[in-house]
Amino acid sequence: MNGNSILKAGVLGMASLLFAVHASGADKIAASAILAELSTISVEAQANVVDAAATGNLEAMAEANRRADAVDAAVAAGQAASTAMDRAIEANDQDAADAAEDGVKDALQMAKDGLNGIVPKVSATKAWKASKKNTGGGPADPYDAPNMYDIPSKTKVQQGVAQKSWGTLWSSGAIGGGLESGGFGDREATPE
Amino acid sequence: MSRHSFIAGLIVALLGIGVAPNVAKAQQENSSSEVQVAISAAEKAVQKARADIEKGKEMLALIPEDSPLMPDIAEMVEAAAENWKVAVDSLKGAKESAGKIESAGNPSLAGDYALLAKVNAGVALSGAKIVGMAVAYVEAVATNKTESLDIIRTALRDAVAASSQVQFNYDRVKKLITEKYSK
Repeated sequence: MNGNSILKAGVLGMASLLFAVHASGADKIAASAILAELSTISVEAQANVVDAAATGNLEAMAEANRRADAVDAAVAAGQAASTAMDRAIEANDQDAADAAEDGVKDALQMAKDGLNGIVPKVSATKAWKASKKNTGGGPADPYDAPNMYDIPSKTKVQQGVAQKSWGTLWSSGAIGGGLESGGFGDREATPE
Repeated sequence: MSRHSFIAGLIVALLGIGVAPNVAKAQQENSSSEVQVAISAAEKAVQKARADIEKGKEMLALIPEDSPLMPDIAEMVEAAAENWKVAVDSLKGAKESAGKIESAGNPSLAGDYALLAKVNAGVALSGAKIVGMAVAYVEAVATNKTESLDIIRTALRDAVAASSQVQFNYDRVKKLITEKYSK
């Protein structure tokens, strides 16, 4: 056996190693199995709601419902990730398919956690920020002016001030103030 | 240079040939134990559902025939009967698939049998849980716990919808696996 043949054997060995460790990317079968498991967890969560209802204990019922809601959210996330995975596979986008498959697996963990009462608390502000995260290619422009009516505020006073400022700015603009206003800076500062 | 290639080739070959079967074996053992856990959970749920059915029969006898909730009860009993059959059949199927894991010719086939067994155990578990929920409704009517009826009814409908998703995905897994080996 010369050096070349051993090198070839090495390449084969490496290929088999890579195959064993990471078997050909996103897997539709595994993802479908995970979706089945997610729905099974959802049934278990609803069964827990019924068990709690049978006891008549309001706290237990609230807790069971909270867990069932968390599981439902995880199921929805898993289904969305699975759809994204199918689309990525059809588009032959391996990276996106792998990322979506990770999303399906994350959803399963979320559902298991939800069933066991581990529900992450997400504040309204954080949820809003997460929903507005610029992932690239989306319809929103990161330099778009924020709409104060869409931003959750910590206090009613803060919200009132922000919305009033926004209203003043909007009415002074070309669109908000009507075409006659001429846009920002074109309006007379002191009407004569 | 050629000596370095020789040594590198040797190391990589040893790593690749030696580690790959070990990784596959470890994955197979891991999935086998997961299957056992899933089947065990489904078995327990089916046993509980069997006891629930007996309890449900007793409860049903307590409800007057002219009860205004009779149509609802009939719906629940129907859901329980359908899901009981699904649970028993699926548990049997899960055990059959699990029995084929050891005798499978290669790790990939063994993994697919394990996956089928696990998902089928999930179908059995969800079917059995629905039986229990339906019986809980009958019991609530029989014992006049009417305040919990709406909650049970809503939860049961959600569970039936989720259970049909479990079965849908089981069918999908089965179809994809069949396609994989028919190519």
